[in-house]
Parts: sequence; C-alpha cells; structure tokens
Amino acid sequence: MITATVKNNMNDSHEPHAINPTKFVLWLIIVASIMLFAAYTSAYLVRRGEGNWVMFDLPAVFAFTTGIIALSSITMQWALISAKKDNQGNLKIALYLTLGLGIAFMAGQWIGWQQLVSQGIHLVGNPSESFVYVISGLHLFHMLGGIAFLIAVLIKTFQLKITAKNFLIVNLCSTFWHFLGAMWIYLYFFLLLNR
Amino acid sequence: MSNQNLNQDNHGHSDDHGHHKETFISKYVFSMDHKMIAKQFLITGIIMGTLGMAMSMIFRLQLAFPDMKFPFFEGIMGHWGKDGKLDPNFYLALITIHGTIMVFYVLTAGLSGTFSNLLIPLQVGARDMASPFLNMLSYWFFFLSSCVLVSSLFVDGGPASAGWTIYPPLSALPKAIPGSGTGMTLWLVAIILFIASALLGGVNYITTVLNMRTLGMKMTRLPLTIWAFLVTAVLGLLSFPVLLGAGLLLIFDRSFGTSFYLADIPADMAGGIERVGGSPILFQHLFWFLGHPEVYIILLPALGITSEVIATNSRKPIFGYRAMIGSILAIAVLSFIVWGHHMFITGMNPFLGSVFVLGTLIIAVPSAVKTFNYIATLWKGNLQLTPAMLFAIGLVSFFISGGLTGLFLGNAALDINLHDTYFVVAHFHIVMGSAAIFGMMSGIYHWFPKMFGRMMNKSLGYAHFWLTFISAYCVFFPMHFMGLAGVPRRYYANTAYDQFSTFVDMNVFITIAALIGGAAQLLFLFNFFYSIRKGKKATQNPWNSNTLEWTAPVKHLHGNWPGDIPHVYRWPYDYSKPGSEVDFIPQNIPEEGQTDPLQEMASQHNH
Amino acid sequence: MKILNRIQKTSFIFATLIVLSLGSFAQTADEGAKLFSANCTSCHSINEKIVGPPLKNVHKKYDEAWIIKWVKNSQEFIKSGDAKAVKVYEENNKIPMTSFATFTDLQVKSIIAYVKAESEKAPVASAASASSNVATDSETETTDLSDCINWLMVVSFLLLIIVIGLMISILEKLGDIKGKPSINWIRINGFLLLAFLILGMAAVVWEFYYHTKLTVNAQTPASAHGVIYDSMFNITLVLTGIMFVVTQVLLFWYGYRYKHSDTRKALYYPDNHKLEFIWTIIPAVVLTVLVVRGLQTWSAITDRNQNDKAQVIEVFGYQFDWKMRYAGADNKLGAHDFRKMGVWNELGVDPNDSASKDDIVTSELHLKVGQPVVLKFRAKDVIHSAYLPHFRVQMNVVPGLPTQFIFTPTVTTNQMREIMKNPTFDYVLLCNKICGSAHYRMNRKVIVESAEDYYKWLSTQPKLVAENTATAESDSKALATK
Repeated sequence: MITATVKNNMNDSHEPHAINPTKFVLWLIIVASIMLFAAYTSAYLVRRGEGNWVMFDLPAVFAFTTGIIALSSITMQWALISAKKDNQGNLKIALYLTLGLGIAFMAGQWIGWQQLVSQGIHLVGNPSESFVYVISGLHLFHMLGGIAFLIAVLIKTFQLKITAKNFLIVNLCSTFWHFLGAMWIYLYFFLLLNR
Repeated sequence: MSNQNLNQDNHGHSDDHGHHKETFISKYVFSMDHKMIAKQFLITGIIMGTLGMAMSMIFRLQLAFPDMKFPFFEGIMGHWGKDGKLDPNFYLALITIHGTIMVFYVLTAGLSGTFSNLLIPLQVGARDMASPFLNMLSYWFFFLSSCVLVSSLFVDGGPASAGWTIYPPLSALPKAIPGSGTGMTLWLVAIILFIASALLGGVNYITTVLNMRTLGMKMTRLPLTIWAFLVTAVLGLLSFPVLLGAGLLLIFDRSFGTSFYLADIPADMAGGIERVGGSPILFQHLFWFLGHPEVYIILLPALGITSEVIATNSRKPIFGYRAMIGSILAIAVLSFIVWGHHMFITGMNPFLGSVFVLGTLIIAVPSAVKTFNYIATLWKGNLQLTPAMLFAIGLVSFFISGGLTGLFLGNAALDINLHDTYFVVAHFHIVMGSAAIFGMMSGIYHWFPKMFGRMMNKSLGYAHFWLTFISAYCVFFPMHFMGLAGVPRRYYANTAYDQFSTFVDMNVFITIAALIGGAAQLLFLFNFFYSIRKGKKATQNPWNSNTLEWTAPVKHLHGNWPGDIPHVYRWPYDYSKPGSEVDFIPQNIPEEGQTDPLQEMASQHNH
Repeated sequence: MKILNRIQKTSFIFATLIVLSLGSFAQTADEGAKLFSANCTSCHSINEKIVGPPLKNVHKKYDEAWIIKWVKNSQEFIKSGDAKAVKVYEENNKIPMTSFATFTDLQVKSIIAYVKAESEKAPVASAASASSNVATDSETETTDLSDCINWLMVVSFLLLIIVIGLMISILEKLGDIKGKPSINWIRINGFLLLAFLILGMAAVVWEFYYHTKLTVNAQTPASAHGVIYDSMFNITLVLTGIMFVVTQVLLFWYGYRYKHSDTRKALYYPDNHKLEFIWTIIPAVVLTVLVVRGLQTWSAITDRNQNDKAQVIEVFGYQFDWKMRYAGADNKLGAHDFRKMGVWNELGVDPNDSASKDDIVTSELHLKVGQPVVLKFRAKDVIHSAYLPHFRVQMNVVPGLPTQFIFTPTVTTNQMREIMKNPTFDYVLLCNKICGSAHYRMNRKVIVESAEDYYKWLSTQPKLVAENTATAESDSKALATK
C-alpha cells in the first residue's frame, strides 16, 4: 500500500540510487529515534555534571537482558539468511526464537524495575533515579514497536508471502531489530559507566 | 513551445494507473495525493494563521489602550474578558498560543508542509511522495494536533500560558499560573502530535528527493526550493525528536512527580511532592536544541521559494547557484551549534557563552552571501513585478533588517541588556515572522495556478502586498526602540514603571499599524477563496518558468504527468540565455546535441 | 520554637515599628498606604482589576474581621467553606491570593483605612468632572477623547482598504471593456518600490532622531561596565547601519531600475567567483571585528576576579515581587533552605546560621555609588529575570540554581535625575522573564546614593534576626493557635 502509486509506473526512469526507498524511510525513522536517545543521554550527562547525583547499582538482571537482546539479534540475522535462502522452516523457527527472546527481554526489564523498587530506587526521586526508568522505559516502548513488526512478519511467513525474491519486510524488520538491540547495549553500558 | 507538447506524446497508457474510482472521501478528505495534501496543509495553515493573527489583534489593543474597556472582549472571551478588560492570565495565554500557532502551525506546517508536499514530487519529477500513506498520516496528525491546540482555548484555567517556549517551572506548576493545568497538558499533547506529523512528513520529503528524482535530475540540477526543503526536512528530523524528549520529561514532571526540571520547589507548590535536584536550565538546553534549528526550519523554505520566484521573475539565472546551496548547508550545520545564544543570561559559563557567540555570528556569513546573491540576481534583470515577486523582494528586505539586529543579540555582551526586551520581539518578528510569512505569501501567489488551476487577482495582490509590507515595518521597526529603552516583552501593560509611559503613543501607533495589517489580510483571504472558484483560468506555464511542475497539465492527475515523466537535461535557471529566442528554457528541453539520459544509460550498459 | 520565633520577627518588627510610630488615627491610612504599596500593588489596585479584583469599597462589602481573616490566610479560609470566601475565589478564576500571615490585625486595618480613603476619593473626582463640562481633572477625559480619535483612524483605514479594493475592481472592469489593461502595474510598483525606499529611509532617520533619546543607550550608563557596553553597541550599530543602508538601497533601487520593459533582455549572468569571494570576505571581516570586540566586552563584564572586594546583596524573586537581603557587616549572607520558606520567612533564611544574624531584608535596592556589588540571585517559585536596564545588567533568577552579576554603579539617582532633567526619575529593577499574571508589575525601585545616605537608609531597616523577644513570643503564640 505504501508504495502503491510508485510501483504502478514501472516504466518510469529515475536517477540511480543505492537504497530502496522504504528501507530509506526506515533508516530515517531510526535516525530520529537515535536523536531522541541522544537527547536523553546528553541531558543525563549535563545533569550529572551539576552534582547532587544519587549513585546506585543497576539491577543485576539488566546484564542478562543485555545478553538476551544480543542473542535475539543473532536469531534475527538467522531469520534473514533463511529468508534469503527461501528456507521457510528455519525462517519460522528463527522468528519464533527472536519473538521469544524479545518477550523475555521485556519481561526482564520489568523484573529489573522491580529490583530497583526493592532497592528503594523509585521513578520519583533524584533525577539519576528517574532517568534510569525513563530511558529504559522509552527503549521498552520502542521494543513494543519491534515486537509488533516481528508479529507482522510472522503472519506474512504463515501466508507464505516471504520468498527469496521478496523478503524486504524481513530485511526491514531485522534492521529495526538490530537497531533496538544496539541501542539497548549502548544504553546499558552508558548507564553502567556514567553512574 | 515544444515542452507543452512533450506531455501530450505517449498519451496512450497514461491515464490509467490502476486506481479504483475516487470517492469524495478519498479525493478530498483521506487523500493520498501529494497535491491534495499540500492544499489541506495550506488551508489548515491559513485558518490557524487567521486565528493566530486575531489573537495578536486582541493583545495589541490591550497594549495600546491598557485603560480602555472593550465590551466585545467579553463577547468573544467570556469571563476572560469580563467587563471588557482582558484578564492578565489570558493575555499570557494569548501570546503563548499566538506564538505556538505562528511558529509551528503556520510557518512550519503551513509553509514547509504545503510547499514541500506540492513541489517536491513535481519539481524532482516523481509521481508522488515515496510513501503517500505516511504523507496522509502526516497531514492527519497535523490536523488532530491543531484541533487539540484549539480545544485547549476552552478548558478550565485557560490554555497554556507560559510563553511558547514553555519554560518550567512555570509550565510545570499549575499553581504558578492557571494555564499550566489542563491547558498545558493539551499543549503538550498537541505538540507531540505535531512532532509525529513533522517527522512523518520529513522522512517522506528526504526519501523522495534522494531516491525518486527523474532521470537527469542530478542533485546539482535541483531547483533551490528543493534544496531548501531537503535541508529543512533533515533539520526537522534531527531536532524535533529532541523537543519530543524535552516534552516527555516535562510530562513526567507534571504528571508523575519526577523532578527533571524542578529544583527546590516546596511540596505545596508542586502537587504534594517536594521537588529537588532537577535543573530548569536543562529544559532550555533541550528546547533550544530544537528551537534554533526550528528558526531555519521556518526560514529556509521561505528562502528557497524566494530563490525560485526571484529567478523566474527577474528572467535571470539565480546568481551563484552553488554558493546558494553551500550557504543553505552551512546555515543548517551551524544552526545546531548555536542554541546557547538564547541562554546567555541564564548564568551559563562565560567561556561556553563565547563559543556560542562565535557560532552565532558565523551564521551571518552564509546569510550575507544569500542576500548579496539575491541582489545580484536583480541586477540587470527584467523584473516582472508580480505580487509573488514583490513578496519575495519584501522577504529579502526583512531578511536584511532582521538579520542585522541578530548581530546585536548574538553577541553575548550586548544581549545582556537586550535579552527578552522588545528588541528581541522586533528582531524575530522581522527576520522569522515577517520574512517567512512573506516567503509563504510569495509561494502562494506564485504556485496558486499550479494548486487550483486558476489565477489570483493581481490587483488585490498588489494592494495586499503594499499594505502588509508597510504595516509590518510600522509594527516592528519602532519596537527596536522600545527594547533599547528596556521595555520587557510579555508585559500585559507598560504602566507599572513611569519611564515606559513615554511609549504610549508608540504603542498606539503600532496597534493601528497592526490593525491595518490585519485588515489587509482580509483582502488576501477574500482573493484566495474567491479565486479558487472564480479566478481567471490559468495556463499551463503562466510565469514562463523552467521547473518541471509547469510541464504537468493544469488539471491535476494522480501521478502528475499523463505520459512518461519528463527527463531532465539542464539546470532550472536557464533564463534569458544568449542564443535562445525565448527568455526561458525548461529543464526538460535537451541542449543541442544532448541525447536522452535513458539512452545514455543504456549505451553505457552496453559498453 | 525559638527558631520560629526569630523567623517570625523579620516582618513583625517591621510591623511593630510602624504601628508604634502611629500618632493619630489619620496616620493609619498613611501607614496603610505604605503597606499597600509594599505588599498589595503587584496584584491589586483601587479601581482596576489586575490579578486580584479592584479593592474599591471593599470595606463596605465585607466586615473587617472577614477581611483580616482573608488577608492572613485566604486558602485556609476557602477550605473552611466560608461561602463568601469561596465566591471570591471562584470569581477570580481560582487564583489563590498570597497569604500575609505576618500582618497584625492593626496593619490590615490600616490598609483597609487606606482603601476606604482612596475609595472615597475616586467618586469625588469623577463627580467633579461630570458636574462641569470644563475638564479640570482631565486625565480620564483626554484618554477618552484620544481613544475616540484612534478608533476613528482605525475605522477610516478599514474603509480606505475597502475603497481601494473597490476602485481596483472598477478600474479593472473598465480595462476589460476597452480590451486592454488600464493600469500599468509594473510601472506603479516600480515607483512604489522607489518611494518606499526614500520614505522608508526618511522614516528610519526620523525614528532615530526622535526615539533614540528615549532609549537607555542614549543616557549615560549608570555602571562602570556600561561604558564598554555602550561602545560595543555603537560599533555594532555603525557597522550594521552601513550594511543596512547599502543593501536596502541596492535592493529597492534595482527593483525600480530593472522593472520589466519589453525592449530589454535580462543579462545572463549566473556566476562570478571573484564577486562571491569578495562578498564572503567582507562580512567575514566585519564579523571578525564584532566577534573579537564582543568577546572582549563579554569577558570584561563577566570577569569574576573582582569578586572579593564586592559588596554582597541577595536579590530574591518570587511571584510577584522582589526582596533584597543585605549581608550586613560581615558581608556574608546567612545560609538558606527552601524548606524553611513560608509566610513567616519568605526567603527561607536559616536563623541558626551566625552569618544571618546581621542580615537585613528590604523592599528597595539601595546601592552605594562607586562600590562594586555582587548581586546574588535566588528565586522561590518560577524563573524570573532581574533586569536593571540603566546599569546594563540582567541575569536570570532561577529556583534551585544560584546566579550572580557583579557590577559597579557609578551615577547616583540624583545625578541621573539632573542628567535626564527629570526630577521624578528612578532606576528600576524589572522582572524580565514571564512569570505569571502580575509579571508586568513585578518591579522595585533602585536607588544609588552616597555612602552616607546609604548607611542612613540601611540603619532604618530592621535586622532579620532582631533581639526583641517580646514580639517574637506574641508571634509564636499566633502560630500556635493556628
């Protein structure tokens, strides 16, 4: 639907370009997201530089969820490779695995918040505490989008719409998924190093 | 002209694009056609602009006649205008919503949204935007956002009243000002919807320009409008998320009891939770990281339109095409490192201030280059003084006047005594407000035939221009002197300090000029809506312009060109080229001995 | 309890001093006038609605006991469910009134007396002007008249616009009948561009001639750094002025000179690298001058080394007024804590801190001429901005983030009055950051005077932590009953 009008005129000639427009759109959305997180991490640093900053340990479970999301990137890549090879069976398994790991990650983050609360670190308090919730929460919100995208891809696989010739949507989903993973790993180490 | 016939060739397969029959809803309401979306943006923008202008009339009356009663105030504002006296809280609400509407709804969405949508596909030679669906969403987010903002005028406590820059703690504490209650919440919701709209639009504009240009439309052959829209979209993409981030943290402070922006606020002021440890200045950093690029998000499209209009109507190529692109890029890059000049007197480190001074004043160089290039384009031209051209000249005049006062404000030392005075009001209303509005008007007069297939009335256009131009200068020029006398902005009345009473006459003069300027917009509104239905029928290329949009037929087609999309052989500014009989050569006309780029490509493949 | 006692004393002593000095009943209204102008004017006036309602005849509408209760703590009063109180609250857009718990009953009564006196004045004046056609007290009359003229002007301009529109359409119709355009718009617009240039430049000159003298830059700067500020300003003004004239003249002149003609063809002139180089370099050079001079000025003004010998004064901003705190002999301000802020201790000064013992809180800013001073800014609720235009001083006043500005006043108020030939002139401390409904009234007088006058004034100002235990005890009792 998105590119319907454009595709109707296959005989139109365009200036050559390297990248599929839809993929380009996705990259731009990722850039916008990066700016949002960049804003928060730099706000975090600026605020931290002003002093009056409460130090505390990140919940241990965040280390696990970081591992989980890194793993899910590998399974996502596997899904993409399977799609390229038209290996429908592996594609489904890989997507299921990714979905499972994604949900595990989200549950892990939730547990992490509960650990924070039990440490006496609440959303309302010193900005150092609030920032951890807001930054991880915002990432979690992005994860919801990623999960929804993943489910949409899974549905397409069941409709057998993904082939070696038409796997753009898997490609897009994997790009976004890798972005989510990389973003969390960055945020985790950022929060770890800048307590 | 041969270009007009070009489109009629190959007519066979063209009209049928496999579209199902269009209903009223799909054609006019949930349209995915970029030209219709452009018109939707424009008309919503004009309605919002009229509202914003009406608000300015009300507070101008208050400023000129602080002792007078205006019984009609009670009629239009209810208890906020009790007994004909404007409530001070509502005064602040009016300036806040006036600023918000003008900056975001008129000059960002109304200007950039309209002309990016209309011109990008037509001028780069594409059937539509990369994603017509996201484009439609972009408009509807904008529409929803407008509705939310307007609805905030009617809530208990009034709309947001902390100024359009919504600095916390004022915007975070409903106890500090009534507008920081429901009104502020709605403002934030409206802005978040607006950001969604701007991002969806921007993503589309960038993708379309970079990926969907017709064959032969190299980046160095793009009209300057497209360059301006492209850079604007990039600026928006990079800066709006930051405003979103700032807004989200403010929402957390307002609704969930955090203290990102709040420090040393006792519990009874802040909803029962003591707020410590935050930094109000942090918000300003985040806000102005958007806020300053936002100035160029507003201005660059207006400058792009001006480049196109001035070249076409001077019948001359724009002077220094590459320098123009260079200065657009330079302005864009620099705009990200100067936000601190809005915060010189927040107690920032003086060294940091110095860095921002340097960046800010450097921006003047590319701006000066642009100005000189415009003037050089006029030199020895053959100027068609159409309303569009006059508005473009007006823009350059405002750009000079307002840009130069920027050299005062950008210098931290001078900013000490000028910050937040009427000098600032004068500066940005001239360089950002008037200049961008003139760019928008110029665009409307110039591309009205493309949008509606009819011409606007020229004579009314001239009357509109001269009244607006003169009254705008009469309104904003004297304000410099008020600012230099230390009159602060956002004052409900200048009665509280004796020395300011010397400005009573000036305030009356400004208000009268503003009322005339406002009345002149009625000429425009009449002309605009009348011409949509009853205007003279437009020809395909009424201004004898070179760009591709004028090769498309007058009657709008979904897909823009009935046949193949024209291929491009030259830059868009071949006006009055020596050796040519006519004084314009459209981009789709091959130069002598030049072959079709399609064949060229094919032959290269064969090698 | 002792701490509280001390804090309460601040304003209490101020009050008792005033009350004890009362000689006769007539003086009550005078006292009320002082209290009124010090505490009430940011939100109230006698005849006008500002933030709060006009106070005219308020003594007739409510009994004294009610008013006292309301003034001291209106929010409690509203919560208690008093019908009248709730009504007043709702009538005024639910904006709560600041509580003046420190006022004694007597003080509130003196304010009522003042309001009463003023209320009775007003009708007399209007009756006088109504009874005679001769405008004796003509201030209101003239504004009415000039307002009428203004309105007439607006209406006539609106009519003019309509007439222009009609004329244009008639002329066009005539042109259509003849088959050729009757108006040569290109020519008209060309001439209008030229006329705009000439008249516009004339107007700019006129403006500079008539309005420059109203600006603070036209006056002698009242501070040491004001001199370099003004010279920086003038350099910028001259350089930008030249640019302004040159570019605007070229723009409009070309607009006129090269207006369309059928006999001429435009010059195809797409590029000239030399020219472009020149007009990149010229602004760059001009800007280098401005940047270098600007940064020199900036660092001279913000130089923090002059800090140690400067006198410390705290400027405290809150909705909608200023309070100054003088550090006293030790030149050290006592510690403060926002948690201690309250109706008894607006500034939240810690009374236990030895440095706060000699602190003095005042409503006016008095400065010694020639004495470097460091203003330390603090805010209670929202961001304010302390703006002293005559001194070229401005700094934001941010809750939770202390800021400061160091400068030296060099011209006394009296000298400035002579320079300006205006015997009523006063320096001012304005609020210059939007802070709420009475933002526009949030200002305080600034007085620069000789050291002698300064100390004379300071000695009349009560110490923050005074030793009068009697008043403190009565205060603590008042608090205990609450």
